[in-house]
Amino acid sequence: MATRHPISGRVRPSTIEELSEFVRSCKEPLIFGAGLERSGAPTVFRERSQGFSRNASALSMKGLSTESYVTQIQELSKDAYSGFVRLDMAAFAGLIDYEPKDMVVKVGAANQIDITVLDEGDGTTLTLSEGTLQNALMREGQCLPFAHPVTQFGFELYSNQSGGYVGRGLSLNLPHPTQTQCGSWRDWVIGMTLVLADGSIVKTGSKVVKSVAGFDAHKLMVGARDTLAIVVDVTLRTFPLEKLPKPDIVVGPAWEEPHLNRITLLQWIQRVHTTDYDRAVKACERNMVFADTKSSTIWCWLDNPEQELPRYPGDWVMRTGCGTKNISITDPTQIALMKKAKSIFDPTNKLNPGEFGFL
Amino acid sequence: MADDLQSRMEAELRELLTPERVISGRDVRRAYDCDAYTVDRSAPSVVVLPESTLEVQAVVRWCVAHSVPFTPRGAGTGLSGGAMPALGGVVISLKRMTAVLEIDIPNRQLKAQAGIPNLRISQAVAEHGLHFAPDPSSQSVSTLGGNIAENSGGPHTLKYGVTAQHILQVTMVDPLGEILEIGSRVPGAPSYDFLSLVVGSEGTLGIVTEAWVKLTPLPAAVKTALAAFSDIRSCTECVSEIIASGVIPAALEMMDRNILVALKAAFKLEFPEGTAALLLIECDGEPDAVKKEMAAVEAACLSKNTTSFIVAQDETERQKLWTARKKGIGAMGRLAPTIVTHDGVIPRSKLPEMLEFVYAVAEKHNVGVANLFHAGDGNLHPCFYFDDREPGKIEAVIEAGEEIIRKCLELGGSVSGEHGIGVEKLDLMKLMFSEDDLRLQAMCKQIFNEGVLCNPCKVIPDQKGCVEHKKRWRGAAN
Repeated sequence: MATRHPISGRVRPSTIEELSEFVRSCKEPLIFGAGLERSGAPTVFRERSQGFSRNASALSMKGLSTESYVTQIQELSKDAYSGFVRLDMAAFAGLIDYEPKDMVVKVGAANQIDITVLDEGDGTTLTLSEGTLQNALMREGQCLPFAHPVTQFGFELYSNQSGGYVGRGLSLNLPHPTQTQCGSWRDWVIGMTLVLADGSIVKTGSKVVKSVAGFDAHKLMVGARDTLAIVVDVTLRTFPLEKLPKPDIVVGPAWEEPHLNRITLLQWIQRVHTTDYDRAVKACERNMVFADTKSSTIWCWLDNPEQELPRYPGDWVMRTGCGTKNISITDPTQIALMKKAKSIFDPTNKLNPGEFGFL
Repeated sequence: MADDLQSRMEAELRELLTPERVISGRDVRRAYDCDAYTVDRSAPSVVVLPESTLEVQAVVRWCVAHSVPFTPRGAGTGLSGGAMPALGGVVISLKRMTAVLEIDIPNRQLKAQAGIPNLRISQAVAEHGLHFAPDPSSQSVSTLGGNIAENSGGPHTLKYGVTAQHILQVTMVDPLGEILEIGSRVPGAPSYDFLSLVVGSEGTLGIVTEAWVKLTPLPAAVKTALAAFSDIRSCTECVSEIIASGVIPAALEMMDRNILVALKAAFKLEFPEGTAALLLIECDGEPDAVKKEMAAVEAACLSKNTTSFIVAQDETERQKLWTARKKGIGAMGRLAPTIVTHDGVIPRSKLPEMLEFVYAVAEKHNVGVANLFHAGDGNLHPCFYFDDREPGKIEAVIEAGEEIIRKCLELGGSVSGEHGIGVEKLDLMKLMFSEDDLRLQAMCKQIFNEGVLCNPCKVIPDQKGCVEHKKRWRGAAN
């Protein structure tokens, strides 16, 4: 059975059976995937987990002896992870099944999505890193249709938009600039293997692009921030690379900001009706990094976590680094249904508790 | 149902609606005891025809208060028994709820009542160069609510996606009679995606009464071609070849020899001598892109030895090419008095193997079969034709259908591509999903429906109170 690593304090199951057994027997909260991102509601688990990572980094810079380093890391992780389990899903990476003719791929949830790009002078030459999903697909002339990072943006916006890993990407379901033309996770995911909060291993969906066989439980996982089940592997439909459209982007004043990593620190993503888009873009003024005209979505960075930009009827906003304002769900019907779903899927609130604030 | 209970039900429902919109009697019971899947039947006690969400709510609340099962129904064109009132009770027909409620052209959205026929949505916005993309073959009759319930596809699914990709928000009466709005007009908000559960839920999570739908621009250019092949295998292999060339056709439909025989008998349509199968391919989009795509399609067909490749030169010719596809099922009546159309789906690359299996199964059971289907998606529709007056034929066709579904699963497919589970494929769900997988499905259902009254006995097999009725449904058909 999977156990806590003696140094890092994380639990890293190596097979789905180990994961299932561990989840079944574990009584403590499990923090993983989206639960580690800064875009969810603030939770003590996230704070302590991120605190541990920061302290571990600082410790590694001190030039300690191995023995001393190990002892201090163990102390740090014992403190940080007391009362909950930091679940490490790294073992669930890898291409499981890929049939280019059918344009369907099955991949482990912990597989990296992105390509790593090297700028070789003209900014259009790509070097693909090994092991990523996009790398494997692009070799067959296919892709997941996120916008191409280098030729269309000039910098690595890409990883920020995708969520980095397959499972995390779909559980966050962040908007991206080719969404209107190519769809998003909800449209690409056709099947999953899950481990439920009671440890059961279940399958949902299929590996064909069109299926009406029962309820699409896999689609319920999209955007669920890993609070309903643990996604182990995902079956996705792919897209022909040569058909990948150029996004219809306008860049804002903040595009040229020297601290581009700020867009991952205090971020505001807003989607409005088409009829409000022009006004919304104008109103963002200097905060706007870029906007996608096709989906009427605007990406901004904020001066401080309390800052509010103009809102419009029917719009929605997601934030990063803004504490309780990160996710704001106010519709009472939606809240009631989410609570009901959570109580059915995770009755002891074991999976990333607090991720949505009220859940 | 006992006479006094029946009388009371009719009287009380007539007070909630208006008398003429509550119908009953032997003819009504017969007309509403099934949808287009006629193998299983179960009669309702009464049928109601509400005209608004509030009226639907009133009926549902009455049913809940009196523990009477209720079943939503659109046009009754479903092909898996989804609208069959499995435990009797009240059929709530939305056929009077056909209004377009709001059109928002700048945002390319339209709101309509769920009983509106699919095609009417496109007709309402055609002058603005827009349409509602999901186009099941039944679109002139099938309703928006029915399309939502079954997550309908159609020939243009390959490029434009299924119904789920075109629904933004639904108004729904839940199984307890509460009115909910699920989804949002500005899509993608952070939350659980309940809309993806409701679309395709076959009317088991509640009754959708209204919906906001996405409108899609009509393409600037359309080119349609009909390619003939002298053998089935070349035709099925050509499907993969076309997709492999990087083209995403708007439609990629296949018809085999027996469909052509029926079309010739019914509509005097002629096809090249020796044709074993036809591919109907449509490309749409910007004119230059369409020209390039059609050239790639033609090259793919030639590589698979097409014997004839005709491209429609104008809209009249295009409609003529589509006639073969759209009238195919109807033409089957020329071959035999009874047709049963099955629905299965496999990975596209397995089409050649699967079709050969379908023919072998038909031969084994001594029934005729014709194939007319969405080849681009791998979604098969074997149409068995026979005379149901011959003893044992119905059973043979049902058995043949099961063998085909088992083969679909063996090849990595699914039990249903677009017709849904309904009651037809309840037992087959156990072939595709384990007990734990089906428990997951039940958990999804439980979010909205913990009771047994709302469209009972559908989708999930072996539900409490349903197993003992299966023989009655089959017996009622006889």
